[in-house]
Amino acid sequence: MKAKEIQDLIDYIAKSGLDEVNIETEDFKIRVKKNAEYSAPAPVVASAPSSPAPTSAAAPASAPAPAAASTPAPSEDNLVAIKSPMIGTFYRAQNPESPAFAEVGDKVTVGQTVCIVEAMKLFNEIESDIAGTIVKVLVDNASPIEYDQSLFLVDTSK
Amino acid sequence: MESISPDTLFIGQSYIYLPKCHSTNSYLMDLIHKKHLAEGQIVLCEEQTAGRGQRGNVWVSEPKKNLTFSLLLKPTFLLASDQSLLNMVVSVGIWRALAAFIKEDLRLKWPNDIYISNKKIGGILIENNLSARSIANSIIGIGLNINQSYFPLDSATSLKLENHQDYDRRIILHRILKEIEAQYLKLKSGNQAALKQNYLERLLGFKNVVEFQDLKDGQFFHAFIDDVDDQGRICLKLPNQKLLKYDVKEVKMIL
Repeated sequence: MKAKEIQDLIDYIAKSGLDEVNIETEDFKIRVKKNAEYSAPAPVVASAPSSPAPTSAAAPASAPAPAAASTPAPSEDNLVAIKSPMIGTFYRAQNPESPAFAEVGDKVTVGQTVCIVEAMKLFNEIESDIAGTIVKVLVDNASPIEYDQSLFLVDTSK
Repeated sequence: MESISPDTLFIGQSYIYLPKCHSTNSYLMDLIHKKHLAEGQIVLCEEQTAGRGQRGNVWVSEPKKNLTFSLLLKPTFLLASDQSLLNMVVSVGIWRALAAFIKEDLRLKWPNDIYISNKKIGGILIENNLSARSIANSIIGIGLNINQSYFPLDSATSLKLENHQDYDRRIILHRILKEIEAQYLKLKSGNQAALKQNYLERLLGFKNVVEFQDLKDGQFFHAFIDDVDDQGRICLKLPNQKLLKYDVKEVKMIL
């Protein structure tokens, strides 16, 4: 079985409603499980749309998918960025004592607040315009951000 | 102040009174996430236990002496990038309201504090809730010192300290709500230039040379306040005639 076929299979399973799939033939044995207990390390993704993410080398599509992977590698098609509607300073929490609005692994819904962008003493709660699971936070807390900069990477298939 | 009856179209027509709370801005923000609120909703609290100034700065206010409240606006007609206009609406509205009660030198300090004779009498903290590119909800927190007569800081004052008399806070609040509404409706009808002109005319140090501190290197310098741009940045002319724009994080005005 080729890497591409495995990739396609994983994508297919990811889009199906199935939580776990086991396939065994004479040649191979593959087990794919969704929503594993542990949270997989945030995948390094090639095309975070227009994001100046420094990690861009390893395209997961070309990597041979490990047959025994217990979580499907999120397909790039499913990764969408939440972008900043304005220039300002990025804050992950309401105030320094509060927990972050959204962490990697959290599910977000449309309209849910994911961060605050402050500009000229005005504080803006930014709502997610997509639903899915946060796989990566692209900006450090309290850093300056630009208009349209990608802030979070969301896997819309999960 | 369990109830109010402002002579307005919508600002303050729905009113929540809290004897004690953490912060009226936080209270209102939580409420927005739970239920639908009409534009103009007010939350007033007599004793804020975690009242906020700028991120992290604590606002000290004695119970029942001052006005600490938050107002909900829904300026969906404004782009997120135009939000400094809201700041001007509120600043100018408060200025006009207070000017009816005080003869002293009342000024707006860039970007949104209210000063009497170089002492701070009030501040504004705006928190917006953005949906796509527009402002879905804007929570405008206002703190004004009215009848408090002792402050731990010399740089703070109140109407009472300036005029040596007690004020009916309800009357002042009604006036503020009416004036903010008038400015807001003007903005809504597209009259941005007049609003900005009103703001600049009341701005402390406008068209004067004032001392600033560069917050990056700590250096003090003098500069001429030339303008405030559409993003709310202050435009300064330096002694070498160079024009530079600064964000609030970059410079601080020294009084």
